[in-house]
Amino acid sequence: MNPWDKAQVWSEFLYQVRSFFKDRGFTEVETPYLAPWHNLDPNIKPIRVEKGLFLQSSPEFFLKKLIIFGAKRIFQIAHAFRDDPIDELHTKEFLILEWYRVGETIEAIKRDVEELVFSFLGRYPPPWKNISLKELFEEILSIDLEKNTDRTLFLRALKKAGIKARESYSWEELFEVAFLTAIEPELPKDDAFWLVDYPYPLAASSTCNGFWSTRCEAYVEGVELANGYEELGDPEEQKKRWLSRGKESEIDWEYILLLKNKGLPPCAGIALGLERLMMLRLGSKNIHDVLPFSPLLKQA
Amino acid sequence: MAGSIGINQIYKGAKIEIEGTPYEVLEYEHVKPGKGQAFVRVKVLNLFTGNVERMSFKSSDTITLADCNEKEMEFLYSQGDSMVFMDPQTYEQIEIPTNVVGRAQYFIKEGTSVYVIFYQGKPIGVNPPKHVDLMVTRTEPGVKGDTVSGAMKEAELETGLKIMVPLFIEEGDIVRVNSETGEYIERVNK
Repeated sequence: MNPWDKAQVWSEFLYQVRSFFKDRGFTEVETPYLAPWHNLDPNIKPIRVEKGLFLQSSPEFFLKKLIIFGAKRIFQIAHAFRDDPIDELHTKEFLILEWYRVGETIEAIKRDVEELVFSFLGRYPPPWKNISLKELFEEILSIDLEKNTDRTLFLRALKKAGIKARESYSWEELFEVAFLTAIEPELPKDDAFWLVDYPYPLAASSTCNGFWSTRCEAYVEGVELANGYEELGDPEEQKKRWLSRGKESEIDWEYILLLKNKGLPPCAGIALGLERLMMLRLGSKNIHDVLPFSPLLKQA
Repeated sequence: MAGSIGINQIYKGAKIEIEGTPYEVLEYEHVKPGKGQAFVRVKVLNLFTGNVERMSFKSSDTITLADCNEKEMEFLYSQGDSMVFMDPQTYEQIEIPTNVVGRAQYFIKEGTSVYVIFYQGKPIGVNPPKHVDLMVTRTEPGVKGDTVSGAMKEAELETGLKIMVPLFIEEGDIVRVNSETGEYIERVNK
């Protein structure tokens, strides 16, 4: 396909996405791409355009501000910018489809994803099964994560289970190393499912029930397609998580203030990588094959 | 030769050392789990045990290169619990315990040229040639003409290795065997 062929496929696809959400009572919104803060996440390298000005890595907190001001069901098709190394699944500018439902749980959001993916791919009808990280760690490594919240204990348990991990790793890094080494290779590669039961240190901005967060991740044919959760509304907890991840000067204090003064109503949301969904549709293994243009590829 | 490199510079065939054990890198991939930082996942061969293992590292980690080298040597003869190899350049001979030679012992006979892997100057493994020709020493009588049915029978080779061969193979035949899979490839004319 030449760039114009691809552009037409995208046009049809985005039209389908917009009708899907319009039919379900959602409002499409636009939010800024440039702001003096960025989503504080130690694993996302923001792209800084000048001192104190960043291209946004996701529309998450602008969308949550709209919810604070009264939005009930909103979605955005947003360009997202991250300074990731370019490879078959990553590029520095990509399209996020992000949406929120106020007063509903993550289960409603999961049904949205299943219906959207089924309508677009014609395979994997809803509902998809849940696969629990808690159970995977117990079955594959005989590790009860909840009993290993202490980093040293966790490291010892992993070594006993035959996982090579370094003494210097944080709890979160130990978790990822164990996941990539022993868990992820066992996940089905020819199906669609939800990975659930993420432990607190990997909760991002999700609510938690004790040690376990409401975060879930959609996997389709081995590709991580979407990441969602019931949204954290506690200003002190949000501040605590951000401060543990980044500089005070780069925090969106306006959002913290809004959480304090007006409050975020209970809501659930998800972000889905549209290029990845397109890859699944076109049977492509490379994100750059489905984009009309990949101007950054030559620099990779 | 030993030193260290960033795991980001890892390559296929690299010999690395982890917790005192040397490994050969068979495969590697860069992975970035959702909301997670970048990692490198490798599939490695434990050069002590021959087991294949998986490991993951943070992409900012550095790893130690193993003090390993390979030398082409010729197998001379077995002697008790060890096997004797000779460096064809210097005629220097070394004895390697049969358990270190491992499964390679079933794919080599006197005169076979192999690669001996040394770790910190000590032999830790032997790589036989990919294809080796070995004589059949014991098998059921051959069935003439049946060369296409795909039916197989067991045969013992001169090294003690047992493999499956087509029905037409007879004792005394020389067969070519893949040393990685232990599978029969073809009959070799004597």
